Amino acid sequence: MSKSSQRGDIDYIKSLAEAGRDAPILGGRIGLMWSVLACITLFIHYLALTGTGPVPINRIGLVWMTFGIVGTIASVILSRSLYEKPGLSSIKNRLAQALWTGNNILIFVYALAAGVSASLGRVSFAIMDTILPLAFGLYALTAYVLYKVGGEKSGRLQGMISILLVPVSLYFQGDPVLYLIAIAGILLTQIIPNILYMTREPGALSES
Amino acid sequence: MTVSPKSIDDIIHGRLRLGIMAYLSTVSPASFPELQKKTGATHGNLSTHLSKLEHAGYIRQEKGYRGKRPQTLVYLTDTGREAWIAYLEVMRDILEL
Repeated sequence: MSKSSQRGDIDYIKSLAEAGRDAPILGGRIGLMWSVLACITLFIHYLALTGTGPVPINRIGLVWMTFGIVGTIASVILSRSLYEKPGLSSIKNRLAQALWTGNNILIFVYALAAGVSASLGRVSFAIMDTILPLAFGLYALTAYVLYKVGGEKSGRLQGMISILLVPVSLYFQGDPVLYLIAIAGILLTQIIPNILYMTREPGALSES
Repeated sequence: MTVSPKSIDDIIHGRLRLGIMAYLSTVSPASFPELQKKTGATHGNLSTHLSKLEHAGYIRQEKGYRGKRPQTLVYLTDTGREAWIAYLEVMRDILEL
């Protein structure tokens, strides 16, 4: 084997290893769907708090339940369109999948426990506002891990904005403006990055 | 250090099989068309080389259906990962000679 053919083989395997490492994040459409749904729900919550919306504040739990159900069904449907995309099992995509599953479970359990505790009169309903700093903390952690381990460059800025939103959303606890801040935060840390992920997605490949 | 030709894993040591192992080391499982596109191999050629790697226990092929479409997923096994790491170490030693 000549040196030039050896070099050619090494370049070839290097390009394949890099193709796997650099496979783009594929869950953009799912993230975008959840983010848009969250913004709509947060806005309804804001209107309810200010007494200007179609839903009274004592019915807002139903709106959030609808958010969870619609989001879960839409996730299942949208994830089917990803099965034939190359790079679905790359380290970055497996990380993203595991982190978001963990985030969703934690937020769901926290919100459910907070809602039940408040309904039983153990704590004030103001506890529901603490879901937002928790969510931004989880967004920051997810972005940081995807940046550090997965090499997702956009995760750096995304993580920095998300972590900044933790003290901001704690400062505005009890103020309806908190919900508008959360919408702006989701737009910056989720909607824009997920649109970018979608533009980088490769086409589907199927067996003939 | 002297590296005898026997140290080189012949099952991996082929351009296309090297490519398959390199890609699967970062994306596992990968679908058959995904591997075909990334390696640039023909259907028949890829099948042949996957069979060799599977026979050695380095990869595992799972044939099934996604909806009504057939789908073959190719996994790098633990044995395959060990063999890949060992292969890269041998290659590094050869290059350092």
